[in-house]
Amino acid sequence: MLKLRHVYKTYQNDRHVLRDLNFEANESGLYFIKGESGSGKTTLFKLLTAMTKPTSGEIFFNSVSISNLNAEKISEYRKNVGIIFQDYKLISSLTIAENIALPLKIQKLSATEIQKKLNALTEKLNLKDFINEYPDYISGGQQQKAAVARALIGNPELIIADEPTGNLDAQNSSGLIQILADYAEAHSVKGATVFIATHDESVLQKNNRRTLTLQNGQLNS
Amino acid sequence: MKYLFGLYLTFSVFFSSLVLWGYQNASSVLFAASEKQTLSFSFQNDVAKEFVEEKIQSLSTKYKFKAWTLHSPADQYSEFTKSFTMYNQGAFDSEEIIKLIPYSVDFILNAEQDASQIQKNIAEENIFQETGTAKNWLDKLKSISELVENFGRGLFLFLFLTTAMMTVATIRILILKDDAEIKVRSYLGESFNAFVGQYLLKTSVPCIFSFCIGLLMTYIVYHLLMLKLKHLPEFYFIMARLNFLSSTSVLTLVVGFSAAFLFGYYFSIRQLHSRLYDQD
Ligand SMILES: Nc1ncnc2c1ncn2[C@@H]1O[C@H](COP(=O)(O)OP(=O)(O)OP(=O)(O)O)[C@@H](O)[C@H]1O
Ligand SMILES: [Mg+2]
Repeated sequence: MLKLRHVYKTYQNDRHVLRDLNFEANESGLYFIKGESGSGKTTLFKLLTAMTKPTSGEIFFNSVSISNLNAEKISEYRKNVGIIFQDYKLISSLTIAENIALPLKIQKLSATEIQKKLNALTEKLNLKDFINEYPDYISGGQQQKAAVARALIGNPELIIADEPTGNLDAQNSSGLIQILADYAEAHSVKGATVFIATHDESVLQKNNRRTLTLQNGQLNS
Repeated sequence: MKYLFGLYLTFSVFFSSLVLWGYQNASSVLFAASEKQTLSFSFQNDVAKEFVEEKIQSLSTKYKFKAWTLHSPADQYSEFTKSFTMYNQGAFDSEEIIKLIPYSVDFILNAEQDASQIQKNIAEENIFQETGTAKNWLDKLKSISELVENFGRGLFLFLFLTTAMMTVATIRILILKDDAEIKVRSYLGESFNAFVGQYLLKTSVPCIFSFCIGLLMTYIVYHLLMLKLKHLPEFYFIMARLNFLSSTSVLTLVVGFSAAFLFGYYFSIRQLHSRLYDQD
């Protein structure tokens, strides 16, 4: 479903951050991507979310190249991608419920449908304590959960999580990773693909899962 | 900023509609102030009264004047002596003087007639020794309306350009304020058209509101002026000629300001597009 072919990414300073990166995710499920700081994890995720395009090479999602999309196609594609930002990026003028429901609203679902999905997810992720609060008035862990809920609610095929456990303690980290792993398995028939970037070794050790290493601009298992 | 923009737009609509209104009414008011559009001619000294009357009649049918007044030499003499009583003391023989005075005629033109053209045509008929007119007055009138026109054009251009710039600035500030939210929404799959629509609504509604207020202010000024003139009978002739903005003028304002707004909107929204969806 996801395929990167000879992907290069070079910023102005001529250093190849990604160099001839080839990778194919044939199976759905959860992948850890580990790499030192500055190895290009965020750069890779920006490519996967169509925020930037490769200097050369191509990226395919379900056999469609996402490297050269117009604005309309970009937003279509992003509706099928759930992004969990390291800094959550919740909108502070909206309640947690409104934040979580935003992808569905953007997809123009009806209010009743949105409410139904929101209720189900609130139940599943145990968000009801703070669902009507504003982001600035809840804890970092609660914000993190809300950000995960927002990424999951649209039922995307691909989830990109950049250092999602950065501010969580070990127990909460494992809880979050379990939620994402469950999601990857449960998603429709094929399952979903979840990428989690981290440079936290302890998270990797505690959660024994498929891990890819980003090194010298290449991704290896 | 939003309120400042609204206020600015209100006043620029107000001023430009006032100028437009002034321009639209300038000629009729100025003509009204001149009281009449008149051409005056003096016949040759030795012509007979019958000749004079016949000529006036034929010119009058030819040019369809509104009215005319004939001044006979005797009339003019008595007018003259009224002002200068010493000549009435018998220093001159009045008969002799009257012989020196030609018949003269004032033609009163209709408002839409071109006085200088008619004057030229009549002069070519070679029956008058002197063709005086309100020509000087008309020239002055022309230069005044030209001035109003140029001033109006300059003002419009200025207001349109600044309105466009203000629109760009306002929308950019609005977008900048919402920057974080816009980015997040675009990452969640919001389409560019949704942003275009949202900000168009957010900015055009206050603009339409401001536009109407500006126009309303002009109407109030017009209405107050009319009320005032009503109590001044000597200005009745002005009042009778004043109109509110014609539909063409209103259309000019609408088209002009919409163009300025859309121009400004287009520019600021283009920047948003490249920032959100141009993959670099
Ligand atoms: N917009 C940019 N312009 C120029 N260089 C950049 C840009 N973004 C990233 N880089 C460079 O690319 C390299 C990889 O950055 P990236 O953010 O992808 O690393 P990372 O693996 O996410 O690191 P971290 O673990 O610290 O988040 C770094 O050397 C960085 O300086
Ligand atoms: Mg990073």
